[in-house]
This record gives sequence, structure tokens and C-alpha cells, in this order.
Amino acid sequence: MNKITLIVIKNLIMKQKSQNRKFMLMIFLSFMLAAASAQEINVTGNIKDVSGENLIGVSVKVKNSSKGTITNLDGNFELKARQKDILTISYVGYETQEVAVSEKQIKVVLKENSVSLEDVVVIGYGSVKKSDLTGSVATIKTDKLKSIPSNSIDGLLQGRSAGLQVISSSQDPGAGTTIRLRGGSSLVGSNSPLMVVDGFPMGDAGNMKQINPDDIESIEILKDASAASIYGSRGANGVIMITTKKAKQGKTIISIKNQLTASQFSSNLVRFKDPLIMMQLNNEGRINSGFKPLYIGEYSTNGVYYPSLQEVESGSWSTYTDWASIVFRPTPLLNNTSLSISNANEKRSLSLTGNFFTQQGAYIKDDYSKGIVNMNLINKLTDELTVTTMCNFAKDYRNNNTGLSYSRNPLFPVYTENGDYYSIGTQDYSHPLALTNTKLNKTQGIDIMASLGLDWQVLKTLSVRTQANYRYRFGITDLYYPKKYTSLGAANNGAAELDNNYSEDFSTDTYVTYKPVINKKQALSIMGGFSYEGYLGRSFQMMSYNFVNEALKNENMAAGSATMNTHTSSLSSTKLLSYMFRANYTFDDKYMATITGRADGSSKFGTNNKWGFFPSGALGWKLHNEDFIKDLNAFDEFKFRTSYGILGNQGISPYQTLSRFGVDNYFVNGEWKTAIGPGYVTARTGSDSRYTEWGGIPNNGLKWESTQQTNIGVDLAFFKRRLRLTLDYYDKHTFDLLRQSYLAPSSGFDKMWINDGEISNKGVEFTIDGDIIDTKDWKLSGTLIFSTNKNKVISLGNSQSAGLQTDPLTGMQYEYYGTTLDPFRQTSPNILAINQPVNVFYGYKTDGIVQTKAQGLASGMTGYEAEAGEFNFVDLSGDGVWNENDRTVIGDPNPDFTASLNLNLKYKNFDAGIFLNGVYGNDVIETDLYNSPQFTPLRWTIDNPTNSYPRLRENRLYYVSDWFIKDGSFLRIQNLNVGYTFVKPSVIKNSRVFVNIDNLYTFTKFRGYDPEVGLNGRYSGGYPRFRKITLGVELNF
Amino acid sequence: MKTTIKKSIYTLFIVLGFISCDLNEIPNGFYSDENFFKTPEDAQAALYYAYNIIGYREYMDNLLFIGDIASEEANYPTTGSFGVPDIDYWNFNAFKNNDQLEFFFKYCYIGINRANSVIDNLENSDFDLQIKNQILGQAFFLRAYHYFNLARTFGLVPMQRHTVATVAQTQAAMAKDFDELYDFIIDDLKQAASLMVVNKTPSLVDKVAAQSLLSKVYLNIASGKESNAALYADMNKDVQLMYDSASAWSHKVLYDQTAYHLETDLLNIYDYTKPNGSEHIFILGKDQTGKEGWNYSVYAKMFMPSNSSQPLYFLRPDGSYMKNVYGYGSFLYNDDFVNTFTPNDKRKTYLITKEYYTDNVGTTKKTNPTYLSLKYTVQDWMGSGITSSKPYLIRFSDIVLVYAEAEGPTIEGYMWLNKIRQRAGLTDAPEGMSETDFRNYVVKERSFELTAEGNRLFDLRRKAMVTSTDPNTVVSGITESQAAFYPLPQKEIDLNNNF
Repeated sequence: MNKITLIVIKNLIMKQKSQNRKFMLMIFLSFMLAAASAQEINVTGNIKDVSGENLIGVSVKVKNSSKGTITNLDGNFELKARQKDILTISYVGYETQEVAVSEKQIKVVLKENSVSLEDVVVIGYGSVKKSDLTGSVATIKTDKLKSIPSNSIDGLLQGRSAGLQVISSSQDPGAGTTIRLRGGSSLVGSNSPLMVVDGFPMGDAGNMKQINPDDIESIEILKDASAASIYGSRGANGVIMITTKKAKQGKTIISIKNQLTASQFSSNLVRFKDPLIMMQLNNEGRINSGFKPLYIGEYSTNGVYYPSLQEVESGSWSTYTDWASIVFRPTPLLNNTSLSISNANEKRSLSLTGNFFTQQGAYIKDDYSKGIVNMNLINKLTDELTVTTMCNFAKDYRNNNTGLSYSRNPLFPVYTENGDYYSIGTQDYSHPLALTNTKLNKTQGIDIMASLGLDWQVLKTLSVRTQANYRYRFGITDLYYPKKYTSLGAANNGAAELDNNYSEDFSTDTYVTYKPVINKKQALSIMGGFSYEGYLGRSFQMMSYNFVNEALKNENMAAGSATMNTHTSSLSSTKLLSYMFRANYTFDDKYMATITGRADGSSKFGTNNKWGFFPSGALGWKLHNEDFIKDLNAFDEFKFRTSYGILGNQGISPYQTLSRFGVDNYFVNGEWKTAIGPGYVTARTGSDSRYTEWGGIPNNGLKWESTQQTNIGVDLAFFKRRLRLTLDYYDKHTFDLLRQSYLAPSSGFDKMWINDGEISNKGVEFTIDGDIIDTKDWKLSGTLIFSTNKNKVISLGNSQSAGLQTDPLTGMQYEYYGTTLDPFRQTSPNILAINQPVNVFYGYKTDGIVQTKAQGLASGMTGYEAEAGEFNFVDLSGDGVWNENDRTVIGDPNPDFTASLNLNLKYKNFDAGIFLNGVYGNDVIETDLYNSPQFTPLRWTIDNPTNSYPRLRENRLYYVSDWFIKDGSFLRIQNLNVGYTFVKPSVIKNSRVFVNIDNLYTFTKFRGYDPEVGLNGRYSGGYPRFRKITLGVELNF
Repeated sequence: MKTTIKKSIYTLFIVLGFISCDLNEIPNGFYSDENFFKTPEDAQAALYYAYNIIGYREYMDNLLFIGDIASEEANYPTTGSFGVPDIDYWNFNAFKNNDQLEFFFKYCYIGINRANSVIDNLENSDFDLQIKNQILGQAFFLRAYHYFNLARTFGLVPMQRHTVATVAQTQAAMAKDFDELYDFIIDDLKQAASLMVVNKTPSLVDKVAAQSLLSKVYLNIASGKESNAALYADMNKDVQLMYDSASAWSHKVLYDQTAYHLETDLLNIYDYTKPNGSEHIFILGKDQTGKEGWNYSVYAKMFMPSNSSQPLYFLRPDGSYMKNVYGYGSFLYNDDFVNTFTPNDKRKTYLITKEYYTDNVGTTKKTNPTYLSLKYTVQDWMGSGITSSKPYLIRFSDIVLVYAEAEGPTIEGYMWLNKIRQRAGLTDAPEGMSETDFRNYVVKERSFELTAEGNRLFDLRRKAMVTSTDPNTVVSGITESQAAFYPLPQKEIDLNNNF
């Protein structure tokens, strides 16, 4: 039993005591006045559960009368009743029993409900009993997530639900996560599930930092088409429904919670500890390239004196700077404090919470902090009318100081002799301390949400809910690039930037739920309603350059050179009008059907496609209620589910359906004239962004991406529901993909948005829950989650208008996907290729290292690339020449499967949990393999003719090849926590202290810092993943 | 029961009482068909937009790459990238997929679309006639200018006669022959010449510009047909009539106005601080205060060597040292071409040199391996070389030579040709030349006068002497008809259903 229920019950008992007195008085009076009435006797009893524990607060009522009481702390009750009366004994979560009144003490053992009545899941515009679900909906219990420190709920969802992929590749303070449900299905649109908080659609999941994770009561994940189609054109990526905590009836509860987290690197930093090795290897690389070596005790071409090996060895050059100790904090701290007050009675429920969160980054002065205040008020005006209000205020602040170089040359000092920052050469723009102290980069945000809801129980069978939501977001970014230490500042004699943006979201929805009483065998529930969502976003950007005095940084933008000031601004607004409908029908508690539909009219869609309709249907069969299954006596639940439906993704930017003009300037007779006309700059391409791409031609036919999804699932429960299994198979097909199509150059435009292309995602996911041990003192439960997803690009539209390229060896059509990646010169290592998963790596195959020049030439290479010590690329085409025609698909960053295991152990008041999370079969491109100090000493030399590492070479051109592709599989002990819950003293009853360790250990073959990288599998070094140790205390008064 | 009905009615009210919402988009934060072209000022801004496209590197750089680098005048570094070496060395197989050729093609059409939007929106407007005509005239000129560049570069091209506003309109049909294309250009220019008045404004065009371009167009047809150049040979035009028309229109420029005339001092033409000089019939609008790469100019750098990051100093005829920014080293003069200048030709001695100094007193002299053009030099710049040098699109001298070539070896023809030679400090042209010799002599004179101004290859093509002039064509083995025009970009062939 959780702490809240306990407190509620206790409170009820106390209240009951005073009511009992009134009750006794009444009984006494009735004795006096109506002695003629039937003789009443004193009935006493005790109520226990199956394990023999006394049940507190069980309702005991005399049937067909208003008389009743509840059990006290010892599970006992006492009331007056007539001898022939029947007592109804009911308790939340237990099967109701009826017993006859007797003069002896009544002993009742209540059995737990096989399906808890309280197990109601939120499914969007309503809720449904879990046992009656026909769609694929997962519920995540937040109590298991409480001990883990996190900026937002998103990061805590990792491994908690089958089919949900959560990647946290950035450890920067305040950083978000990438969330995918059942694979990505869009190329340019959003692939993140829709996040809905208390019925308020908030947009993409990934960084819900404005919601305090501690305020969240439950999370539901709508996975299949039947469940998600109620969100129509926004449901294609699934929906995450968040329900915040509401105060429960009882006395006032004050709860204070504090988490203090200390972080440390979970592995050693990779860098040269011995400068001599660094110097030797550098010299060797330069000599191999035909350059003059650097460390020879001479001034280099950029005017810097580099000491020779002898100077360092002899100690005459004694400077050695440990940059890591300068740029990194020894122990970054995170502090998370929450205070909540809740109070509720029959009429009113108030919950007020405050949260203050500070997080230090790995780098010095890299900070994040935020404060959140949340208020939830529910007011029951009459028996029929209930008003709910929610107000959430969040403010955050970030001082951004990431990316400082800890691999900076240790042979140079931090300061010059007169205390200035020591620059290595004239164009040194990476001095960590100079940047920390002179560059400005901070952001602040305010996020205010408010909602007002009204529930009206019109009739017993008919209810109406209407809700209006408003959200205001404001952000400001301050940037200043000083003249001396930054490249932008040096080019412009100081550069300042001030960015502002704000946005407003307004949404309202109203829906009617009708649950007619047909007969005992049939149940029907119909929901119909509409919603409206409006968005307005504005941004302002100011830039100033050429400052005489830098003291004000960006505080006075007029201090820059007037002729160089730049201002830009934008305004964007969208509207979405929707009608939705859902019908649930159950027959004989065996057969269930759900029909859902939503019609969406979006301002973003073309005039020819303003409205989209997204229908779905699902069927469920509770086999465990069939006699032939009941007879087997094996299944407590055996439910079969299947669904099919169409979902949409409206990830288009607004205004693509309008012609769009550009704004520029033309210099006429000594002055700039404003120039406006058809076509606007949509992209800058080429090296140094030298070329310009043009868009602005409207597409009236533009519409949403459509996803067809089929889901087949089964829910099983055995051994009195102590073992539960959920298994789902899905097949998702997304078509009408939004893409940019090339236009004939004679149109005067480069590209326009069209719907073309197809992607499929198929997968299997299962969850096994078990209550392995369940005794009075010991409890052990576990959850095993497994998911696998196969992603495939089916079509990318017309190969010519899509500008697709053809792989000469296989005829595979592909295009580069994503940006360039250092050190490679290929447009992108990732491609989109027909019949391949999204993001596969495309490049060369290698066969070790060239050992002799003859071997290199025989492999078809020329120039230095044929020399010994270079990569032995494979001439796949077999034409005797190694060139770009020898490339092929060399890796896949999509995992074969992901799995997690969660075990919770409880002994009396102690609790412990361990959470393991694993990803298997994904490839990672390890970009620093060629220059990481971990590997360069292992290089090929004449004396070390290895086949694993090439010789050192300063000016080698790097090609994407399988040499850089590594297995990114890992199994992580993500969390380990131990806690103790207090029973005494009673004033802090149910308070808890705990210790949590995050990222305890990672099992992996990957040799970089951490294999958990973004969806495109790109690893770029950075710094090791943190191991976080959290001490927490939770006090309840 | 009564309350039940009542409640049900209320419920219905709440549900249906929703105010309907307009899902049509209105343009926020940008201009669109709906909120633009409402006033003459709008039309004026749209016209500036049509001018502005020429300033993009995809347009202007390529005009110089095609006009000069592809000819015998100059080369591009063979190690250079961006596809320019293919243009320089006539790598015919690479042309269809050459980025720069595709850029130039596309940017001409962007310019055409911008001019079309002015013409389509203005023709039926009721704006003040004087303003309307001057704007419309410039739009007609620009459309013709872009089409003339396309015709000279690619030959037959698709015809976009109206603003592209729908997907269907992106599929333009090809001009069926050169007559259709050139008649379209001539019509536009005649309209432009009749709509506009003489109104000399730096970086804008007026009546004189329209007359000038028209004379160039006629000369192009006349000499092309006469030389049996590809496509021109099939034109249904009379050579003599074309020469006469070229002569008549250039005559108007030379005699019927006073705003423009030959600059007496050669160096004044190339003084970047004097865009209002008497020669500049059409000079591109650029300035170093511009914020984007297409607003400011880096042409000073294109013609300077890249082997230093210090300013270069050049000795001027008056003995002073002129400072210039260090460069990219993209334009490498061919010694063979420079050696064809008469040694005392001021256009060489003043404007082409290998020698520069590292300071403004001439202490250290350096010699560049190739000749450098000083036509785009600037003495002040911002940052690493953001300048105000403005490309010369139509000069009075160009039209003088158009007139001389069209007129042939008449007294007038000799007089105007010799004015150009005299200004360069040269003796008069030899008398008694035949018409053919005289015209060829003028064409060669054009290469001295207009070098590094994006002209030469177009002259070679209309005279069908690319392969006989540029040694790079010999190496590549290209034929004259292959050299006459670049093939249309492969992207156009792939994506335009009319092919």
C-alpha cells in the first residue's frame, strides 16, 4: 500500500470517530423513542486479508440501510444491526463480500480483486478499465522512478516500456533526450511521440523540463493505431499521456523531498599523460606526410616555439599543463528539492508543489537551474459539476560553457608571464579559460501553463467535459564573442547577439461521454467531441559587430558599429480544428470492440487537403472468461487484441502552401534599396555555405504523412496474476512521406515540399511482470522488457525529382542523410537507401593495412594511399581501380533489439531495486579512432606491421570505411537503489531515505567513452559518461 | 424526464456552440501574392529583386568564368575545385553535370522569374504611367538580359514567359528555334527602349541600356549567322539587315543622347569610387557595407594572388603605389594572350601586370608567375576582403565597338574604332581593310578593351572561332559546334517533362 492511501485511510478513521459519536447518540435516541422496532444487537468483527494482515478502513454496511462503519487500525469493527440483516463488506482493490449478522465475532478474510478496480488507464479524451483495453497501451508506474535524479520525465522512461527507445546522448546540464516509439517513420518531420499532460497536447516528447517529474502520478503510452488515432494527425509517432498528481481526500500532507547527486566520470579520460609520446607521435605523423616536424625546438610558421624532445626530456622545458583539471569540475553536483502541500475534502482538493533544481555540468561554469511552481485545484461545485484548474510556472537558466578543450597541448602554459591568457599562435580561439571568462553564452526561459476544466455529469449515463489550456513560453539568449579569443569576434572586432522568442499555445476541447445501460451482458460507451488548437510564435534576433569597448558585451546593442547592425524577426501561426469519436462495446465481458476516428483540419495543409480523417478499429477477446479456458484452470487472464488504423504526422512547417517572397537589398546610387520578390533563401549549401538554394513555390496538395499500423497482441496472467505477460506484434507502414523534391532549374526554384516515399517499421515487443516472492516480510518483483524493430526505407519517390544517386555495384538508390562528419569528406556517412534501414553507413570496406607498396598498388590504390601503412581498401567492383564506385553499405546504427530488466526487493521497511538496460546489434561510427591517444601509439610502423591501425599521417584524407565502424552493443547497470521507509516516529511516518547509483557499470566491447550515441550512430568522443550517486530523503508530515 | 430533455439540450448547445474557425493560412512575417504588388513602391522593390540576383556568385562569378576563363584569355588553377577547371579545359563530358553551368542556368531563370513577376503584376496596374513605364521598361530589359545570357551560353532553352506560381508552371516548353528565342529578346528590348527615358543612375538601366543591349543582340545574330555558327546558321534572319539594325541601335547610343560618353582617362573607368562614370551604361550594384556575399563584392580578390595574407601595392602611371587586397588567385592570365597586346597599349601597361610591391613606397618588388588584372582593385576593404568593386555589365566602349563592327570599314566605323585605340595610346587602325578583316580586327580589339569583363567567349562563339583561338579546346579535342553552346544541365533534362 502506498503512503498516500495509508494516510487517507488513517484520516478517515479519525474522522469516523467523531461521526461514530453522533451515530451512537442517534442509536440511543432511537432506542428511547422506538422500542417497538425490531431488536438490534451489537455486532463486532475483524477483517483480514489473505496474508493475515488486518485491513484498516474497510467499509462495513448494513445492506439496504444507511447504517455502516469502517474497520479501525486493528481491523476491527462494531455496529448495531438486526439479526436478520446482511452486512456488505467492501474495500478498494478487494472483492466485496456479504455476511449474515451473527452474535459471535464475525471474521472475514477479504480476497484481492483479480483485476484491480482502480486500474484505470488514461487513453485520451477519457479513460478505460485496463482489463477492457483493446489497443496497445502501456502504463509506467512512476514510484519506481522517484529515486533517480532527472531534469525531466523523458530521461526516466529509458527501458521502462516495450517499444519505447530513449537515448540520452548528451550529458550537458538541462539536455533533453531522443524518444522514439516503435521506430522512426518520418524523414523530415518529427519522429517524437506527442506528449499530452492532463489533456493538454504539449508537442514533441524529449525535454518536458517544465514538468516536475515528482508531480507526475502516472504515464500511459498509446502505441498502436487504435489507441493513438484519437490524436489523428499527431498520433503517428505514438502518444505519451501524463497525469499529474491530485490531492487525495484526507488531512493535509506536507512532503519535502531532496536529492543530492554527485557525479564522477565512469571511465578515465583519454589523453596523453606523457608529453614525450605525444611529441614523438606528432613528429612521426608530420614526417610521414613530408612535413617538417614540429617538436624540434624551432619556431613554427605560425610563430610559436615548439620545444624539442630533448628539451622536454632534460627538463629544460618544464611547462606541463593538466588541462583536464582546469576545464573539468572535480565533482559536479546536482540538487533537486521539492516541496508539496496537498489538502482535500469531499468538495475540494488542492495540491501545491514547488521544485528547485540545479545542475552543474562537467565543465567549469557550465550550469543549469530551474524552478517550478505547480498548483492543481479541483472543486466540486455540486454533485454534478466539478471544476478543475491547473497552473504551472517554470523558469530556467543556463550558462553554456561546454566543449572546452581538455586535449589542448599540455606543453603550453595557461597564462603568459604578465598574466594574460597564453595563445598558441595568433589564431588561437580555443583557450578554455579565456573563453570561459570572456565569452558570453546564456539562455533563460519562462514557461507558463494554465488550464481550466469543467466536468458535468448531466445524467447518470451522460457526462460532458470541457477544457481550455493556455501556454506561454518566453526565451532569451545572450551571446558575445570577444575580439581577442573567438574567431567570430576577431573577424568582426567583437560580435554580440541577442535573441528573443516567445510563443503562445491555446487549445480547447469538449467531449461528451455516453454510457447507456443496455442490459447486464452488454456495455457500450460512446465519446464524441471536438478540439481546437492555435499556436503563435515570434522571434527577434539582433546582431551587432565592431565594438570600441567590450565591457557591456551584448547589453547595449547600439554600441556596435551602426552600419553593421542586423535585425531579423519572424512570426508564425498555425491552427488545428478536430472532431473525434470513439465507441467501446463489450459483450458478456468476453468480446470487445473499439472504433475510433478523428478528423483534423490543419492550416498547414494545402487548400486541396485541408481535412484528414484518421480511423481505427480494434477487437478484443477475453478468452479467460470462456468456459473452455476457465476449465484449464491455468490462466487468470488470457486476452487477445488486434487493431488496425491510420495515423497522421503533420510535421510540415507552416506556410508551405503559400507563395513566399524573399527580402533582400540592392545597392543603387550610393544607398541600399529594399528588394522584395518571388523566391526566398531556403538553404545555404557548398563549402563555406557559398551557394544559395531557393524555395517559395506553393504546393496546394501538401498533406500529412499517413501511417497504417496493424497490431496483434495478447495479455496473459498466471498464478493468481503473479506472473503477467504482454506480447505485441506491429507492422507500421508510413507513406506520403514529406520530402523536398527538386524542380527543373528553369523554374527558378530548387525544391518544393511534396508527399512521396514510404518507410516501414515492424517489430515485436513483450513485457513480463512477476511477483516472484510475496510474503509478509519479503517481496520480490521483476519486469523484463524486450523490443525489436526492423526499419526499412521502401521508397523515396521519383528518383530524378528526389535527386537520388545510384550505387554502381548493386544499383541501390540512395541519398545522403544528415550533415558532414569530421574527419570525413563525404557529404554524410549516413544514407537513406531503398530497402535498407534509415541511417545505414555507406563507405568503403577495408582489409587490414597495406603492408607493401606492391600490395597497395595491387589493391587498385594510387599515390600515398598505396603505400605501406595505409588503409588496405577493398576494390569491391574488381575493376583494378579503387575509387568511389567501391563503396557499399558497411553498417547499421539501428539496434537489433533492446531489453531491460528491473528487479525490486523489499524486506520489511527496506527496499532495493536494480535496473539493467541493454541495446544489442547497433553499429557506431567511432570518428576519433584515427587520432585518439588510446590508439595512435598502436600505429603501423615498419617494426610493428600491424593490420589494425594505419601509420601516422598528418594530411591523410579520411574516407568513411568499415574500419571506423564498431559494435555499439551494451548492457548497463543503469540504476541501483536502496531505501528505508520509516514507520516510527509517527510524525514522519512513511518518510524515506535512499541511495541511488546511476550508471553503475556498463558491459560493452566498445572502446570509446560510451556507446550510447544518437540514432545516426555517430560517436565523436566528448567526455566519459557520469556515474551519479544520489542521496535522497523524503519527509512526509 | 423534463429535466433530462433540458439537460440534453444544454449539452448539445455546448458541443455545437463552437465558433467555426478559418483554416486558411495568411502569410505572417513574409510577403506573398496576397499582400504584395499593391503599390508602385512594391513594384519598385520587386524590380530591385530582379537586379539583385546578378550579384550572386552563382550568376556573376560564372559570367566571368564563362566569358573569360573559358576563352584563351585566362585560366583557372587546375587544382581548383567547384567544376571551374572543367569549363576552363573544355571537358565536354562533364558539362551536363557541371555545378557552375547548372548554377548559371538556374540563376538566369531566377532573374527571369523575378522580372516576370514585375511584368505580370504591373502590366495591368493603374499606377502612374510615368513610374509604371520606367519600372516595366527595366523589367523588360532584365528579362531580355537574362535570356540573352542563356542564349549565348546554352543555345536553345526553355521559355518562361510568366511568373512561376504553380507546379504546372515549373514545366516550361523549349523555344522551338533560335528565332523564337531571339525574337522574344528583341521584343522585350524594343518595349524597354520605348517605355523608358534616359535616366542615368548607377546600377540601374534606362533607355540607353535597352538600346545598347539591342544592338549587341542584333550584332550577335548578324555575325553568328554570317559565321555559320551553330543555331545561328538556321535562323530565318538576313545578315545585312541584322548588321544594319545593330548599327542603327548603337548609333542611337552614340549620337542621340548626352548622358553617356567615352571616358577620356582609362583609369577612371576602373575607379571603384566612381560608379557614376560616363561609361557605365549598366554597372552592378554592390557595396562593402552589404551584409551578405551577394551584396558586397569580392572581385578584387578573385584577380589577386593567394600566396600572401598581406596587402599588395601596385605602381601607378603617376608613380604612386596603389594598395589592393590579397586574393584567391582564381583568375590566371595566359601569357600568350597578354603578349598579343601592343607593348605600349595602356590597357596593358596600366591594367595588367605581374609586378607588385609589399609596401607603399616600393621597397620590395615581387613578381607573380601570371599576369594580374587591375580592373577590380580597391584601396579599402573590410575584414579579409569585403569590397565595393562593381562588375561592368555594359560599357559605352562596348557599344562603340558594336557600332564599329556593325558599321564595317566606313569612315564612321574607323572613327569610333580609333577613338578606343587612341585612348589606349595606340596608333589608328590600318586603313583599307576589307569588311571581314575590319570586323575581325574589331573583335580582337574587343578582347583588349573588354578583357576580364565576361565578354570574350561570347565573341568567339558568334564568330565560330572558339576552337581556332583557345588552345585548351585543342587539348580536349572538342569540335566548334560542341564549343558553340554548353549542353543543358542534366537536372533540367531529368526534371522537365518537356524533354
